[in-house]
Amino acid sequence: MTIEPFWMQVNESDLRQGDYLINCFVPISLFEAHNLEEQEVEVQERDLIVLTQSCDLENRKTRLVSLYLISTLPEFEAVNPDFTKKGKWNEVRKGRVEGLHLLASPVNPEDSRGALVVDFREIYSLPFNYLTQHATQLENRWRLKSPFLEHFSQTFARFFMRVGLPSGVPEFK
Amino acid sequence: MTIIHLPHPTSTETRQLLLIREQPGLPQFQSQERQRLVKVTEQIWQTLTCSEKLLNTLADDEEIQHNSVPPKRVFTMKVRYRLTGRMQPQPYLLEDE
Repeated sequence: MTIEPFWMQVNESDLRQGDYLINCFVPISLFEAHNLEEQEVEVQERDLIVLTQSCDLENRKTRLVSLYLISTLPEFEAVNPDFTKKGKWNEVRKGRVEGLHLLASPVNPEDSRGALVVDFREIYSLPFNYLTQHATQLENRWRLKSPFLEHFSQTFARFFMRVGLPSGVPEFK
Repeated sequence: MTIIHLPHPTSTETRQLLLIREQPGLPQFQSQERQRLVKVTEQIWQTLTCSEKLLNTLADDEEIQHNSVPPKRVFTMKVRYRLTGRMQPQPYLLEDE
């Protein structure tokens, strides 16, 4: 079976939903309100994927861009050994694990071990101008193609709009 | 008076028994004893099926937890905060037709 490529390569400063931006700097401010002078801030380097809608980015309707954490499977498995068990990634692939979404490898979509995992529980907001500059510096980078982009966006929407009920209709016997 | 009795068992041995679901319509199950046996077997069968369903449901509903991937690199930098006062809402352009 041939796997349709999920990604296309771009080399531009413009940002779109589904842009895969490696090595982004994420400042984690502890923000001690009593001391507004000089403080130390932790900066984390992370690989992220853009969540903000392309139309909002195109029209510069937003100062801050929303992004999710995206990782390789070995990176994810290093902190989640349970996912090395047989069948776990297939559960994610079928959309049965909330908060996680699989995207095929940009270089070899046929290789399932080269897939990338998006963690919907890790959302960051970074300034539009910083990301535009960073995207320019990256030169060649990956952008998620349609309809994989819409599917990715829809999976997040489904995750975000979950409603927990105190109880449900009893099981039919 | 000394009572002689067997020592308490130190371990529990579980014996696996194969539960065969009887077919009440068959001629060999026409006797009253057999009919009662069929009824009891059926009750056990129904109870076990419910328990099995419940266990499956629990396994399906169990939310798979995961940890966040650590950053590729972490460093610290000194920043100077500047209080700019209360922020105003961002301008919202209405696209009237």
